[in-house]
Amino acid sequence: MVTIDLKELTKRFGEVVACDHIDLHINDGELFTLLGPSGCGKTTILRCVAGFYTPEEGQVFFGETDMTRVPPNNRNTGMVFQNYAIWPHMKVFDNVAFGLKIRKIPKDEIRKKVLDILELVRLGGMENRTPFQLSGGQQQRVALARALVIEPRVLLFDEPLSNLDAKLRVEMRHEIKRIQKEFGITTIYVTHDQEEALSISDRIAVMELGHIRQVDSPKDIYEEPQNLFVADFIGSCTFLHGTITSANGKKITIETSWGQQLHGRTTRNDLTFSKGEEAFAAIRPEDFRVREPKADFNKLSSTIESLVFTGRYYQVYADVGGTHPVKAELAADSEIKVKDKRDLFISYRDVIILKAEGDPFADRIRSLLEGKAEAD
Amino acid sequence: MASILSKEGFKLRFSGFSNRTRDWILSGRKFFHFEYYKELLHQFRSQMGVFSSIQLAAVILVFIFFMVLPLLAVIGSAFTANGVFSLIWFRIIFTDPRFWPVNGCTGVPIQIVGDYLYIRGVDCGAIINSIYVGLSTTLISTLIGVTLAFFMARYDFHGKSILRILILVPILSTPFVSAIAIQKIFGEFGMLNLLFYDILRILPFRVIFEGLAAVILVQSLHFFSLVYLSTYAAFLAIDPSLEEQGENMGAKGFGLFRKITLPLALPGIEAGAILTFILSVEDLGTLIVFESDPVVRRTITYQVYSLIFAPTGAINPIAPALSVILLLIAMIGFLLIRRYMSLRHYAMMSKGGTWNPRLNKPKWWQYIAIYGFIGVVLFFALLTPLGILFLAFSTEWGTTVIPVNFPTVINFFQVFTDPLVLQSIFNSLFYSTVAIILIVVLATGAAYIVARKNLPGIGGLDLLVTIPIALPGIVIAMGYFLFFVRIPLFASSILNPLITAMPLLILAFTIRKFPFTVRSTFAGLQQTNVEYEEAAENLGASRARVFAGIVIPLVAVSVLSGAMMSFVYCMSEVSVSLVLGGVNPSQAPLTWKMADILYQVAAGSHHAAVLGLLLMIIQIIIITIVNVVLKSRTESMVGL
Repeated sequence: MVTIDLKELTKRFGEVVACDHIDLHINDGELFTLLGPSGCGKTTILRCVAGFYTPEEGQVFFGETDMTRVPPNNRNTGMVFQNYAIWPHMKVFDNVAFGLKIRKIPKDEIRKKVLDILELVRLGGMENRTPFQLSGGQQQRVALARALVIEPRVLLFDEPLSNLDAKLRVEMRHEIKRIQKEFGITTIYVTHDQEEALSISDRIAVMELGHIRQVDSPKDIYEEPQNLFVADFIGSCTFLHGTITSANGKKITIETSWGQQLHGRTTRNDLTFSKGEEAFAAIRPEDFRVREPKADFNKLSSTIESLVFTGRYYQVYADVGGTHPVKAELAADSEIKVKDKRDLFISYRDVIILKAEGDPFADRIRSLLEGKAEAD
Repeated sequence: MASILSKEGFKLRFSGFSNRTRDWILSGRKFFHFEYYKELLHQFRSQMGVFSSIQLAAVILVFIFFMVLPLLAVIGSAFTANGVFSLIWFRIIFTDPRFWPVNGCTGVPIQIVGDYLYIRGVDCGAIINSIYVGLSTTLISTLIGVTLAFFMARYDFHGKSILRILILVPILSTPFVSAIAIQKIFGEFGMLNLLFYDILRILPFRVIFEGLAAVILVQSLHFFSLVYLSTYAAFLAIDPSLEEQGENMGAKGFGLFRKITLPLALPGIEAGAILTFILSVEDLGTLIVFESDPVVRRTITYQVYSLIFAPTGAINPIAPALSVILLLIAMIGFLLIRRYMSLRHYAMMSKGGTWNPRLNKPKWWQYIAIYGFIGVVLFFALLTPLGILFLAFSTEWGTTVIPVNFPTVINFFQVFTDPLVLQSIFNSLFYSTVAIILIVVLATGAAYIVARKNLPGIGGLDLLVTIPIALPGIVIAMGYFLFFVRIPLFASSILNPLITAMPLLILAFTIRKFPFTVRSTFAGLQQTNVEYEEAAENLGASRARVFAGIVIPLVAVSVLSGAMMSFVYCMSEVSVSLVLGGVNPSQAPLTWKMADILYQVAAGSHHAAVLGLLLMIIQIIIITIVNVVLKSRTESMVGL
């Protein structure tokens, strides 16, 4: 078992910097997820760890050992690929046994290990099948078994569940987590699916444009977004643009251009907020209420612009006075219609105030709010 | 003032140039920096490893020694006289009416004498003759091939599956004997004149094809199938929705074809047409059959062939210069289709064709047009194999529709009891097999590197391994004589063709028929996910093990189908076989023996036809396996 350290890791493709001076420490036995939109550099980092890419700058350490220039076949990592890469010309058994044969392990031992691991991934009795006879989920399990059986120092997952249907995806998520914990292998998991990342990981790094924007536990990533990108990417926040009117410790109030006061909190203890600064309030759709809470709430008068019933809730776009409607998920038993004038309530702790200054994502949010870019 | 070495200073200095030129000059500057080479070396090390480096070195070594250097030797001799630079040989060529029309062209292309209609073509000297024969063959082949391909790709009609197989028959490559068959069938008292002039009296004249017109006829009846195959593949690769969109906007019928279908298929048509041009210009077998006509001898390929005296390796000093002209003509053609021929482009093309192509039910008048056209084309195209059959199973065929004493198997007894013939068959099988082993070993490596390694200069490797399809064989043969006989280092080695022809014949086959396998393998690699290889590497497999255990099994079918086509074309290779085979008849391959029989034996054409039939059977078996068992695409058959 081993820790992984990335130091100043930089990989360029021509003019494009895929990952830019990445520093990261991954704990022994941890399931660590790289999360971000496509093109953010998460797979690049994974492939640098696996050895398929050699970084232009920086180093990769497994424990104390510098692995940067070690070829992939000498790194003893087990990787599960997005499309599984189950060799079609080999049976399940031979697929799983491949790594063991290379390690020159005696035949009967190989047999035992392969059958044991197939049992573990719930593929017992399928060792003589060809890959064509397997479903997507079963191929996924073969890929997992093949990576695990060599007892790698590091497990690497590259969007392993993205080709599975929704139900199987949830099932395999638990399966991977169970097995990872059982073996206790240090694991890097790459995905663009935030729900998957939040539910599987010990810690998550949220990435954008080759940079890591935040590293935290799933709960903190969700509840304490440190910047506009993370707030936008995780849980599709609505942003309201304004100016800080008062800042008192963690409690901060902003006023929007149309005069709406919003009380909220900051997630950043390292920053000082002062009156007159430009800021954004980030609010998750599920935090809007139509019923008045007991105490400490903001009230926004709104007009319902559109509404879609999704089963569990109404998805609503409501005009609260700004240039852009807010997105809210309102309880399915709320009686609302389009064009209704309703008050929306949000408690103070659900309004996260983030500074515009120094945040590379501020321009994007601004243009989003000015209607220059399509919001989702 | 900005220093010239700084980027700004450099830009300033070149501000007079256009942006493109300036960028080009600036990008060229990197070649003067040590850092660039350090980076290059690093990239090379991290991507290639020992195994791929060995593969690359092997491919490059073989191609340098057996293609590039011999060609350079040809070019070198062409431009030197007594060891110094000279254009004397070109001056001689361009002032000699045998090569260049200094006194204009002579001859009457079409002439009616009594009840005879002669179709001959004119004589403009070897250079122009070769070019116009090539262009005429290309034009006729393209017209026939494209029309056929359109009917086959876009219409659904009764008997199509049978016709599709029959149309493939002319692709069979039977050097010499197909020309002889056509010579007999189109002869003064040949089958066609007897049928249509004497018996049915449909023709007002006895039609006689002579000289270069006869060459064009023979070549067109063979090469139209090549254009057909490449065009057919191009039509099938067109996304049907593009045509449907055109229809949706109101285009239909011929307008739709001209405005949408044809432009989309044009790259495929061009590639087939230009390859036809190259192969027509370098074709030697047909010229040899018609060599009794002095105008046929006045073609570049024939001239080069006749100016090499194989037994002693003596080469007339103007032959290299003529070769350079032939090479130039072929290279111009190749450069025109360069992008289409390269491996990287090929993969893009082959991704198409997964959808269901559009098929129309023809209307009654279209039925007439389709059956009429295909019927006429097939009638003429199938005359060739029919003629070969008649020749093989008879001993005399001159003035009757069906040969005298047909059928008899006496030729087979005579041919297959001749130990020299059996030796030549064995030689060809042996050389082709060894060449195929070499091709497979080298082509899998080359295709793998071009497909998987991202290094500067990969385009050069791509060029190196695909260019042989456009290199005239006679020029390569000449290069071997110039290089391996005259350079002292090789002169006493087994690579000297005057000592033994075998090694060079095998290597010539390897080089010349390399593109079929390398292209097919490359296409297979493109369709195989890289992650299969990465998964193996991740589990600890060395590069050699990944290659042998994962890559090769996964692309085996593609390699095999390409290799089989390479084998087919090795067996029927003419130019190098004739020249090198002439040195030592006991080592000569089958095609040399066929030419030898034509010259030496009284019933030569009938005996040669037996060997032609043998070649046909081998080719039919292999093409059937490739098509049916391996379900390979048509492209691999023509190397397009």
